[in-house]
Amino acid sequence: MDRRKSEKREKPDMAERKPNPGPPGENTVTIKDLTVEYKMKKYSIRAASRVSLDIRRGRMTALVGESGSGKTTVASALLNCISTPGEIVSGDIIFHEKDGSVVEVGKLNEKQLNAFRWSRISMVFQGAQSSLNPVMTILDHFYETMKVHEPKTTKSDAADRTRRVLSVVNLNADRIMKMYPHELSGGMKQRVMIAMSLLLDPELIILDEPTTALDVITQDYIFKILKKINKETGIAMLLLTHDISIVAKFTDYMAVMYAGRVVEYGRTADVFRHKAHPYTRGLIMATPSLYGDLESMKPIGGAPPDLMELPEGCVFRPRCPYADETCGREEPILRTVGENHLSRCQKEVFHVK
Amino acid sequence: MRAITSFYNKTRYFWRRLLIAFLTLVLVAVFGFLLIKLMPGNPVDTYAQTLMTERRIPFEEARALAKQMLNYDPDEKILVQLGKYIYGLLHGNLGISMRRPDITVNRLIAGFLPWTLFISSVSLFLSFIVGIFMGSHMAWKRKGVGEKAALSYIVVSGSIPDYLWGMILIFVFGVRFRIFPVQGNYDVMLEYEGWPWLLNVLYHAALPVLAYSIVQIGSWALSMRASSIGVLGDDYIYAARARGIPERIIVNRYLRRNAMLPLVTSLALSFAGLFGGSSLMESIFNYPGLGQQFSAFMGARDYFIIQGLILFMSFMIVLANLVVDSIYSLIDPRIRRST
Repeated sequence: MDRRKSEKREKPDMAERKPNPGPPGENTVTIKDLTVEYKMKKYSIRAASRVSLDIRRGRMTALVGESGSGKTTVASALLNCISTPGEIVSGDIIFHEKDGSVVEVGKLNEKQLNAFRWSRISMVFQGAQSSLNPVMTILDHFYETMKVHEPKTTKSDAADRTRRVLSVVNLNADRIMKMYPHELSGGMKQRVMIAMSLLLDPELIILDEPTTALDVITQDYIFKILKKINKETGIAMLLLTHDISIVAKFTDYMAVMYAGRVVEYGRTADVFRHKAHPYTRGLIMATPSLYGDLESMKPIGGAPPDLMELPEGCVFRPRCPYADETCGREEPILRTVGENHLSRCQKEVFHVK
Repeated sequence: MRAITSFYNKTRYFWRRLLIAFLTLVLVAVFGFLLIKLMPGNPVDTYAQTLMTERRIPFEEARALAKQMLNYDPDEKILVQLGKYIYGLLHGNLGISMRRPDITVNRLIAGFLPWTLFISSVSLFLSFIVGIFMGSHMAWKRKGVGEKAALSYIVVSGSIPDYLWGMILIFVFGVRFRIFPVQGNYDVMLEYEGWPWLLNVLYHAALPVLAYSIVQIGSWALSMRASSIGVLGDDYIYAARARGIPERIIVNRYLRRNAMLPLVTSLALSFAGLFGGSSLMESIFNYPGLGQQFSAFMGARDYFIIQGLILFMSFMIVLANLVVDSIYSLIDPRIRRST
């Protein structure tokens, strides 16, 4: 019996799933014209404005932007889990099942939504440190989640499955399962959350700044685990971050967000090479390079706009070194500037072809 | 090894707490004694006046007689009196009534405390449970009709003191509709045993318990609401929603359990406060509890009984404080494993 147990542990669950990125260009989730508003008594704030985004099956997509640019809002819209008083005003979120059928996330009723959450799209939260209920053991969290989605689950099923997903993130399950959240270190909790996101074998995992509270060594370690999971299981990932170097190192596609809008989208390599929007250019230039001169690092002047008083025309205009009077006329649309490459800048100079 | 150290720490912690509790009680005994001595006038002089007019004897003679009858000499050195008092305490004697030597504090407690404890603890737990549910529901369904109704209830019930509620209840249910008995703890005609007696006791307790609870529910609900709103902002609530956990489970297992932690401390402390009983409430319902007795002996200036009862009530509060820690650690694992 012991042998069987150890065999199981050597073969973590990820090996059971064949990587299936699907045909290139196929999406796990398509976001179309998503607009989210936070409605207050006297005014409302548009945190996401006509966001369109393709999340490719089996790929790692980055959503880059500074704090308040609407990354988290878009991510929580994917689970239809925007915290009050926010609500989806318009737009569609379409989830593509593997058999080709589609699910419109915004149209699910509460019961369907609860079944959809976590089994199709799961999430590693920004505050993973505090995402666990302090009065429940680690195993209880996993057991509860499985039980909710599959009522017949027994406690020993849950323990087996928990053991397997915890071994994926290199945690000693037997030691940890009976512990309470406060008994774990920050990095361990983060890995527990990652293991939990794998629990129901989802199609997409949203990683909301998964390493902001951790030191760089742990950060790198966790990203290596994530990349490995992504490669070996073919689970798509949406990484929300403001760390350009991580985007460059780990992701396949990237979208840059500014003031609730997607300003550039494309394959990570293309975006870094062509920088088809001045904001992206600014972001990349603002990152210190390992080899270049420190002088070549240029911060973006000014501050992000107040979402309640957006400038006329292009929202980036007041900070844009390339702006002229034509930029103030009307807001530019997201247009194709190359293969699989979109930019919201109207200036021809920035277009690849 | 770790277990041994932690056990050692735990026992040491416990003994320290016990020592502090004991010192507190000694101080309460001494100060309780001194405070009563500071009160203007004393029972011997008062009684001597009465004797003087009744028996037409000179004051000196009356005073000597009073001293003898009350078994108390105010002219004795204060340290000697204190010594006698402490000596009595050490022999398990909390005090004997001045006027009626057959009444002792010990007997008072044995006879009346159970009734006080019965109605006040039933109403405390009832209102705690109702308040917890009401408060967490108010926080979960903010700005709903339910919250408005609950808030108006809390304002109305909280602005009327509990003894007035007692009178209102007596008027409505006891006099107008004659549904519930308005006084006493059970029908004296009944045998002191069996189910009929127990039911009769509950029947008599209905109105006092209701009067206590009406007011208490509101304050529990308010604290629970505040605590729940705090917990609702915590990440683990959001994380649970994202995991597809249904609302019912989130409210029960995530919200309520975490939000009630701080309230358990106040519950235990309120429990300690129950041992004195409520003089007004027990008088209105003519309920034979400790509060009713306390006010009666206070009126009669029966020093020994009063100081005995005060000491007893403090003892219960100190004891409750000790118990709070252990109860708390049962529901909060963070305390269970770290101290």
